[in-house]
Amino acid sequence: MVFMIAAYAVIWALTFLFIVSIFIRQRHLQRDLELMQQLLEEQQPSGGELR
Amino acid sequence: MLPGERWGIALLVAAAWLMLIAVVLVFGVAPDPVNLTTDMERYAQRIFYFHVPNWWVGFLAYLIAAVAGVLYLTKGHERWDVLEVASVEIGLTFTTIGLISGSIWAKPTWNTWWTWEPRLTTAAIGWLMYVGYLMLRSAIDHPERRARFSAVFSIVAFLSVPITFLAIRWWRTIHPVVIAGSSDSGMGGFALGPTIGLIFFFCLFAFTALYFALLTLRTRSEWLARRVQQLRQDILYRS
Repeated sequence: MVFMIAAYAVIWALTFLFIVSIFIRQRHLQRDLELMQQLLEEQQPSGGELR
Repeated sequence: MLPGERWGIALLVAAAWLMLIAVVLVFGVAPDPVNLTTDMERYAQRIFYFHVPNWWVGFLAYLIAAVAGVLYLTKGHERWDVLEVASVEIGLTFTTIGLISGSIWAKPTWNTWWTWEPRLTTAAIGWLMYVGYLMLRSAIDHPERRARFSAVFSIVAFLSVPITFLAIRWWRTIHPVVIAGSSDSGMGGFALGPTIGLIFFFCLFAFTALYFALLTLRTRSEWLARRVQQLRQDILYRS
């Protein structure tokens, strides 16, 4: 029984870690994106939508 | 929250419910195979319901990466490179889980954590090839060259998938052939009866849903990473 529990623990733990890592990366990237857009707006005082 | 992320989370929630149902079916409904006599074998056999779907998702992810590689080489659109890297990363995660869960299943069934028999050897080689894929990507700075080389690599690396799948049918091995076949030399094998088969295919479906949820989320984060990289370069060129 211990092998079955160990296997399922590994499967769930690694899957969960992968999902969490995607969300953490996404949050960091979102923050970086906002920062970059802010910096670019500061560099061009005439303004304009950045896409 | 942007549309892509919303879809990804909705799919993830749906996949989580399917997984929950799968767990209930595996531990509450699935019968013990009649040929497995000891408690240790019967408990270990339950690993099958999540171990094989892990490999299924891994192989599906590698197939989609290879198709994306072909499309990138023929069409040259960045979207195929994004899909390719996202899919390989998911595939590598699931095949890593598959290798570990297989090793845990092997211990009570074969009395060893690892043996260099054909299935395990080809699986390990395939896994290393996709680790190499990610290393190759991180080693090339030029985006177009990186995408082109990676596309070729993902197509070549995909050859490991049918070889790994067919290894237990081509060569004499202790790995059992549970799906579509039987093996004289396999240890720990069992027949895929109607109830076991139905629950197993439900698990495959749940894992496939999880794959598409993760692919949606990972693809979006890859686009975000590229947008950030582009803006970073714009800022550097202007200053």
